Amino acid sequence: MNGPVETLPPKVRRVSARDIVMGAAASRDWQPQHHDHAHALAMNLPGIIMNAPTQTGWLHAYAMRWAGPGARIGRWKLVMLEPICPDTELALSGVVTQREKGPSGLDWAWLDLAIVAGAQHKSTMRLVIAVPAAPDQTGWAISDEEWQVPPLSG
Amino acid sequence: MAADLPAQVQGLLGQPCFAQVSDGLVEAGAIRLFAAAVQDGTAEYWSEDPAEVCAPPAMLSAWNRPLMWRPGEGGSATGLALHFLLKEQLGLPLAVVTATETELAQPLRPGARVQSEQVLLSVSEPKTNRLGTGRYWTIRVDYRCAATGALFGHETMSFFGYVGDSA
Repeated sequence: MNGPVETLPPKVRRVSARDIVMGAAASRDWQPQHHDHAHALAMNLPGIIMNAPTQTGWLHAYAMRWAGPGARIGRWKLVMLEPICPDTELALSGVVTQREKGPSGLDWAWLDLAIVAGAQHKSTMRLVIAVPAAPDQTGWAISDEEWQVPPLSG
Repeated sequence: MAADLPAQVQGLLGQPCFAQVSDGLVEAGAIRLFAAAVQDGTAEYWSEDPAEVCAPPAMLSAWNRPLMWRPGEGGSATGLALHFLLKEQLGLPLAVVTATETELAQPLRPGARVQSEQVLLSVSEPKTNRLGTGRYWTIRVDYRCAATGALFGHETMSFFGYVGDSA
């Protein structure tokens, strides 16, 4: 099936300095633009910025909440268009653009996700995720041989 | 691809380098800390059963970023040594990540030690944007199980390295 098949419910979240610093530390990213405001300003950034693993983690959490138990992420591309800084209200949104039968009772789903602040797109992500087609299925039990993730292009 | 690159940088293109092994094992406490930071309630990240736990895919690169300090080794360790070498050789002291593309081949589970290798794929002509003047470059990193060599996943990261207005 091609074309938008489902829209994810939007999620609004206000990003704090703690979110940015926690995400950077938990991904072992000690680069100063993720915790030192003065350093970030000297880099011509508007303030400390959320790092790539944290943005990825936010969008993955959003997708996994939609996909439900047993879902497993296979592939993604994150494009960061504008810096994400503290005290910004962010809206996470997404659409399922394609869904087709995968291995072992799973479906492959292609999601286009976005982080938006007002009218400004901060980041986008194209994601391929294995979603159980039945409640008793799980992507985590699939063998390495069967786990052949299709390309982002679908 | 830029034609005006220093010979040292030209020599790096396409050459696997900076093989390293993680300074610790994949472990449940680190997984929970990250899952809490991004508010991800996926059951496999929070399970009390070690056999069920696996790491969030977004943590793929985390295991090969070294600790900032270890006894007897001092500080200032960084991951992705190729990126920092490029900054130095190109005279571009500032840098941001602009995009990442990643595939997960198999889950990372507690007890695994992760090894990685970096390859410079491309360096652009000089560009100017609102951050400053610099270049874009892309690096691919493969992550494998140190014990077996099995591929955990790979990612291609795009950077913009630059000199700011005040630099």
